[in-house]
Amino acid sequence: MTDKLFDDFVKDKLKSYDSGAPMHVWERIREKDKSDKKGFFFFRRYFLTGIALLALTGIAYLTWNAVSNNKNVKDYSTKNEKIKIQQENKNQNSTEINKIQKAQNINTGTEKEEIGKASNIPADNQLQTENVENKNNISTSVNTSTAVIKDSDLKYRNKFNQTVFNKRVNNKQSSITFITEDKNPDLVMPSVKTVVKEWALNFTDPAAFKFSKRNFNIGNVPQPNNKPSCPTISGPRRNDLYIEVYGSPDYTLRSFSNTSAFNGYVAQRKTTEDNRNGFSTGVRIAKNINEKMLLKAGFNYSQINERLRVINENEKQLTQIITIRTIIRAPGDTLFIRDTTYFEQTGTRYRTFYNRYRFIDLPIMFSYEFGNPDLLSFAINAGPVINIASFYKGSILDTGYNPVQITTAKGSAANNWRHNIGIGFMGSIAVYKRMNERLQVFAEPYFRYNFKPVTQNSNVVNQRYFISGMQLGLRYNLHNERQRFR
Amino acid sequence: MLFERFAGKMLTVCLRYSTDRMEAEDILQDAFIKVYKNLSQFKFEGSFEGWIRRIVVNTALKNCQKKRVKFDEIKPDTSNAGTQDPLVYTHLNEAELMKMINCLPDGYKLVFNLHVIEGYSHEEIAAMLNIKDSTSRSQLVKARRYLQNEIQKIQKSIAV
Repeated sequence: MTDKLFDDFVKDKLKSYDSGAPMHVWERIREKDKSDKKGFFFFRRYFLTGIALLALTGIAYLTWNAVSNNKNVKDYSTKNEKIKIQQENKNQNSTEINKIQKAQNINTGTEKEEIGKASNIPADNQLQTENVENKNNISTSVNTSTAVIKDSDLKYRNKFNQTVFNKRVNNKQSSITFITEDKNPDLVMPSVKTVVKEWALNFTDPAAFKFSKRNFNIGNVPQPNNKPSCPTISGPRRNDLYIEVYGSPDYTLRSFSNTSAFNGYVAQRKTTEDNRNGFSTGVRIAKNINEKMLLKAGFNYSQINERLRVINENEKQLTQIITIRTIIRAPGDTLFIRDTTYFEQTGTRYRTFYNRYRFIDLPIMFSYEFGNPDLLSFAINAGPVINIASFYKGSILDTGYNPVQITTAKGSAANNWRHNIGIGFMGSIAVYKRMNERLQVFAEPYFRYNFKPVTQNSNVVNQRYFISGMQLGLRYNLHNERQRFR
Repeated sequence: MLFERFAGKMLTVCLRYSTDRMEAEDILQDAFIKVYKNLSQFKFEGSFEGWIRRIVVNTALKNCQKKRVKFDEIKPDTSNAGTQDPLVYTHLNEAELMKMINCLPDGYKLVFNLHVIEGYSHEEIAAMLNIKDSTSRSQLVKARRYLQNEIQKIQKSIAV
């Protein structure tokens, strides 16, 4: 037979040879298709949820700001009250308006006192203030012995219950801030009067002072001799130290990258393993860096639960049956007959393994807080998560599709996993609700991305977990006082 | 249904390029996933079966490339090659032929399958496997001789 004939013979024989459609492969294809769609669905759902959360947070913040500002503007515009502050200047150097040397008297009287009009104030002593929001010019009058501030000089009443006056003195923009815990602006002035009287000092910059019912601060001011040291212009600094305790239900996403295994191995793993829920819990300390930024660090324990279901078709079970018969032929003559038979049974064997993957981590997060700390505040957190140790209990399929126990021993098999998964990244958005002076509750949806796989470098597949969840917890302020002095 | 209709034939293709049935099923699975994903790209210009077969063969080749097939040289016993009884061929069934092809070394098997059954030229095979034309030709000749010798062994056993 020539080569050509031989080739034709082989081709004819095998070209249309049917080995029989393996329907279990079709089941695997369907499963894979389903899981792919599911994965996409989950990704899209998380993405949309994240966007929605961000949008809601933004809207809530903007709405809250707008409502707060409108309320203050309304309060001040409807009440036709005028506030007069008279400051007697003990220093005789009255030629420079930016040198208010001492305020001796504040003439507030009753709550509805008339304030002198700006028109009777000498022009060279007039302080012009810009009301940025209302686009109105605001004038504040100060002469050598008296400082007059009309209610129209009130620029705004901000979220910290601070009544801020803006002034422009010799083209220098400065501000005066009254801080009060009372929401009624009428109650501002008596306390201010007291404080100003108490703290009447020589100022080199008349605008650079700030006082409150409790705290009075002067900053950027060269201190005269024999005067007590003063707090900073920025006021008492935030000096919070929080302890946060939380727990979270988690959902874990998983990714595979095939390094040297058969393509079907990964598909088989995906079809046999499911139910990746879990939880995490932890405690952390949060210390503020400045007014808005905090640094958080603590310990986090997280657990991923997974289920492995193995179906072995044509599983053969061999049962050994030993039958012992006793024959008593005569008294004292007993015969034991021992028969051994084997019973082989063929069937499908279903096995389920419940795996537990545990991680102990050290999260270090930077947090930016905004909102109203007295009501509802928000934070955006991000930072590295350093894995301290990882523990695994359970079984996975090896490349021969047989279940084997996960181990942290060195090796390249599918079940050789890392004892430490290194550094990951964690990001979250938190909402804080104040319960009392020290205690807050928070909800914090988060996502954790692990850079390293749980499997070892030489493993046939690289397997990584990404954890998402919703941390719910309590935050307690250990140090509830602001720092007054530097 | 698409899978039921073509899976049997395509599994035969996969079996010819793999070492065992499990690997062949993996290849088949990957190939059919590609078929379903790219179904819209079929332009009705040739036979649908041929299009699926090309996808299956390409998937199988990709799998072979992962394994890094070596095109080894073995010395086939060619002393009596070409003297087979034609009756042997009539008695030889597909399963036996498949078994013999699977016994070929990987390099021989690849070239033999691609040239004889799939109908690729040596130039195309050389490009696909990143080998020389001459290597493809020599591998084919040796594969053919190897198979003919195996068939001759069967002939002898029948005669005995």
